[in-house]
Amino acid sequence: MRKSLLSCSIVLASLGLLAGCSEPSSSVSSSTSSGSAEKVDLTGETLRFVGSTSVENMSKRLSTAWQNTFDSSNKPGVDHNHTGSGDAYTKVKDGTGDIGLASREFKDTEKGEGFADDKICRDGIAVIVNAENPLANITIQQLRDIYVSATAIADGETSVANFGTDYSAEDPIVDWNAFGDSFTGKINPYTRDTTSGTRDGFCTKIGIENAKTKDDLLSANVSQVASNGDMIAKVENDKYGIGYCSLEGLESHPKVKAIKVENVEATADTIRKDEYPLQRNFNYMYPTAANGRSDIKMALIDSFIAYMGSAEGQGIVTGEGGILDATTALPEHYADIVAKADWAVTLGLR
Amino acid sequence: MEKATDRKQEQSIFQNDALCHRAERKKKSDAVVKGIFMAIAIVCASIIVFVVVFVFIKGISSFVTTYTEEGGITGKQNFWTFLSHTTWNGGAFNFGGGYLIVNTIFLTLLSLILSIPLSILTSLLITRIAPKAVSAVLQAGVELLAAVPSVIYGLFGVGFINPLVNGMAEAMGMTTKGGNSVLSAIVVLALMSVPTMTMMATTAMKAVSKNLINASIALGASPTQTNFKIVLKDAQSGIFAGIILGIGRALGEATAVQMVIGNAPSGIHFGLFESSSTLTTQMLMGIGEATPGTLGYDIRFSAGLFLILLILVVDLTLNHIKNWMYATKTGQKMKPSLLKMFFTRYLPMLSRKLVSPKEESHD
Repeated sequence: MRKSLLSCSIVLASLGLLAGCSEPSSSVSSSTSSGSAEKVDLTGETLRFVGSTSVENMSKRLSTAWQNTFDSSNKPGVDHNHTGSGDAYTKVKDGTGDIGLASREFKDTEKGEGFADDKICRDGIAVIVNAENPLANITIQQLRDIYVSATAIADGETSVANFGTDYSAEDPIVDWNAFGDSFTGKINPYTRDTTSGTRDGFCTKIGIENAKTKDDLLSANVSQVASNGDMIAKVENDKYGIGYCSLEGLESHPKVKAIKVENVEATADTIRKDEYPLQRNFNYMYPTAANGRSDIKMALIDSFIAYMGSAEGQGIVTGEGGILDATTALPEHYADIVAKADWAVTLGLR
Repeated sequence: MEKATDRKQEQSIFQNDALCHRAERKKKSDAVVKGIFMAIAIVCASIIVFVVVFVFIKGISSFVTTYTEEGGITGKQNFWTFLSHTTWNGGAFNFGGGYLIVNTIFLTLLSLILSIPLSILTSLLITRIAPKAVSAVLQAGVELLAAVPSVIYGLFGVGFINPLVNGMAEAMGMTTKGGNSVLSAIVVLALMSVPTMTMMATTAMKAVSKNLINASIALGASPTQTNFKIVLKDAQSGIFAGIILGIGRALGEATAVQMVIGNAPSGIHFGLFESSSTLTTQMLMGIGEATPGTLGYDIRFSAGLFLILLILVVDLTLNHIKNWMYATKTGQKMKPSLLKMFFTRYLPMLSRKLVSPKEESHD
């Protein structure tokens, strides 16, 4: 029995060792001297995207389209690992990610030497109610009165220290008949959970910033939903529900409607002009110092960022519901950018 | 005469030799196979131990290590506030999980009220009452239901049970959150535990000795009386084993429950039409965005630790009751449990050794 135990443990140990050794191999083949473009092998490199789940769809479309601009025999790999905006900086910093995406602003602790960040686009947060609800407009104060906990208001804890902004104490709104006699019923507010970037944006913009991580500041009547899609599904099924979600997913849902906030409707135009108050930025960050990354990898990062800023990339961003700032100059086509950039030489594109 | 016996002895010795070789080979191959099975069993058992130890270490770490939150605040979670606080996320280092245990137990108990009668009566139908063809179809149906993944039950709950509960509530003049309520979760959990319980109960009832049933009918009992007083009583330990499996499934269900329960962020909810949350649904909430290394990630392991302890306690108690049931049925004396042996045998032995070690060392 000792013999078979020994052999089994040896097999298991060797399996464990094999599993542990997974080094990404990066190979650069020697350049051939035919023609002006040197052939660089890109297939060994993988561009890794990390960060927010809100930006996941947009980043996946962008990365696939960018990957397809390369020769089909010599494409770099693309890897997505979206675990939340908090991971964008941590993973780019420790080298397990190359481009970090976040659905919020990067904090001061997340910026620094060797990293740069910029904005991709703006995203609107729509306030949604069921289509049967006749409500058409809501003020930010009313939103606060719906979402904030009645006990916090009653206890007089409506201070800056608690909520993150000066919140004038008003009565909590619990019934829909506060908005008009035609529709009555207990209000069912829905919110995302505390790790959500959408909740972060919503709470900050309506003035209860600390509620983004503190559930007891919100009304006890609030229900949590798991995602943007879940939010829409729950408000669809609940006549008395109110919630918030990212603007892009709303088109094909006739049973919910986005209402105006402070008499401003949520459209790309009003968001761009800063008239619609509930909006947040999608940002990205990337390393400017190599920190162990190969030259090819750094060039690939530059290439992707250029693609995002090109006409094709911006078209994809808008197609996914992102809202771009109005610019006086039209973005260049990617092919034109490649013709002029230094990184294109490193990648063997010209 | 001696020669004959000598020859016979020689022959028998010769035969014994060959037998001995064969027996030795058999012993060796037996030992090898036994060793392989032992190794496999060790690996399987060690996986469970590994999982429990991992969850334990990660779960405890949220109470003993210091975390740095945004803004540079450092601190750790206090165990007692974690038990008593009734909001899951009350800000930095202010999590609460004790109330979730109450919610989980409440939900499971109520779902048992629905699922136990349903499963026992279904298995009675399958084994005793229905004609053979019908019972074969029913059995196949129940086995299929047991294989359905939990997310499908969740979708069924969202699409069918939620509107039903909503309609029921409106007919009674109450409001629900679109039907997401404790009642929907109870119905979904009951639906998920019924197939397992029914299958175990069917097996137990089929094993009831025919003699008992025939004796009961011969003594003049009606079939229904036989079913309830003889078959059920005889199969009770098997039925109870099925109930244990059903409880295990109900306690540990996350996806399906999260889709129908409404996920209230705080508080113990006993109302049938209120939304609530359990240990499993709260652990699942927001897991996609939780960053490893922060308190918000490790605190889920603490909730998981509570869940493991709860399941352990429930299972041990129920297994003890099941063994007692089996012992009363077969008339055997129950093997004393580890706990009992610990107190009646090992502890006195240890205390004797501690009290008088010198006397022992004289030997």
